[in-house]
Amino acid sequence: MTAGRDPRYERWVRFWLRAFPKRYRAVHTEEILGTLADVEPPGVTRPGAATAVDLVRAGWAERLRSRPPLWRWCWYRLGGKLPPQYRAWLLDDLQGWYRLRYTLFIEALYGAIFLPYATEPDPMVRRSVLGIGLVLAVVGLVTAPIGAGFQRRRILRRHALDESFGQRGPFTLTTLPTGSAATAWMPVKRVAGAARATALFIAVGTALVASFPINVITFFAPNLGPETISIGPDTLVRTTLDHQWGTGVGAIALAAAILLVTAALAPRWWRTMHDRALAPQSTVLPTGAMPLLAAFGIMAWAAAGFFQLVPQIFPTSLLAVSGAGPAVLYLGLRAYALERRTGCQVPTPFTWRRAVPPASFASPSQRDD
Amino acid sequence: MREATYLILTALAAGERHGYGILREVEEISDGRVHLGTGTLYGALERLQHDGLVEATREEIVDGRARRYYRLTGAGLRALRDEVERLAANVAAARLRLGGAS
Repeated sequence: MTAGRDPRYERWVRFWLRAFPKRYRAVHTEEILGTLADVEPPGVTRPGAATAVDLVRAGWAERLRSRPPLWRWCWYRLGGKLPPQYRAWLLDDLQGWYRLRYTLFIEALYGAIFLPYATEPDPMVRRSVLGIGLVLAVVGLVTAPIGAGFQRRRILRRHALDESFGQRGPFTLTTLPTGSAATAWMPVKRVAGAARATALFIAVGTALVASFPINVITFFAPNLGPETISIGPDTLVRTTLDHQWGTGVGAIALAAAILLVTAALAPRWWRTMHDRALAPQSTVLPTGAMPLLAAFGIMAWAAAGFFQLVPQIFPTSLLAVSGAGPAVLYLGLRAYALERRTGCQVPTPFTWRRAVPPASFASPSQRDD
Repeated sequence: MREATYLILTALAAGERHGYGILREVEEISDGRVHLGTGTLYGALERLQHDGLVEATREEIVDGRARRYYRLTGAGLRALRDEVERLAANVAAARLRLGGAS
């Protein structure tokens, strides 16, 4: 865009400008390129070290200046509300690598809770607590990126922002325009059915993906495995497993194959399930108490493993407690909430939408004044 | 007030300027002593805009180069005046003591 300027130079400047927040770049990039074109002698193909350092330093100063303080940041990550002066920062945060940032926060939270036990003198307690922390962290790697989508919508709703802002990824909610043909024919129950399909999909996916590393851990590192972290009614630690349920490399290879095939087919299954739930003339997924029953079923499964009625299912029951059970419970309740809602919110399959910049880009700092 | 901030406000005291104009003016005011980096300038401008001391007035494209012009707001003018008063008082106090010592 800058006349007479080497495109290589412009690429370099844009690269260094990445130190600035996105909202800042949207407003100032062209202007900074113009000024640098005036400052630098003609024929320069890349900015000098001093210019690069200056841009990076100023960019990070701007990031630090405009970010919320640590306690507000933690509060916001946990789902709290930020005051309006941080709106521009918030909109930037909800875009791009939001899922990754959220997941890292959750993992750091687990770290902060469980890692202090590494200095615990009692080896039994130490291994038990660290084992539980490890399982939660592994499960969190799967559930947190999914949860981030819900969290983002919640945050947008709480801050009275358009829920479709900057969304991408498979699990997005689209608000249909009221009075459109789609809302006219779509019974609310079908919408809830689609939500339930999503719930089922997430729960089964979580169980499959997360159980795999747990099985591997149990087999290859039995000390970290479930027998050291099983909390029975009468003793804290009990050795119950002699590697009957998942021993042998063959079993793990089979599990891996099932996981891979499932992962490959899952999008298609889910889309079919989802479309069927929304189609006007089709069978809606069972309604009523199904999600709650499923949740209680998983909890019962967890209890059976925990209290060693069926020791072999312990690893998966631990998973059920920490991941799939709460997920189904939460999503089931959400399906109920959707059912009661008059506004027609439909989980859409695999939409990739471009981030829409906020209406006013006059100046990032003035946007919220 | 940091020196860069003070110099930028001073550069804008005579009227609106674009980024490169401010850089040149700052060099002139400081007698070539201060060379502001482009990043530093725009970081400071953003901060000053946020604090309401400076505002953008207009944009234009000259020779394919985007330019945005800035000027002092009322609050910016007051802040600069206060700073000048403070510096003048400091200078006067220092002169007095230097004069007394010599």
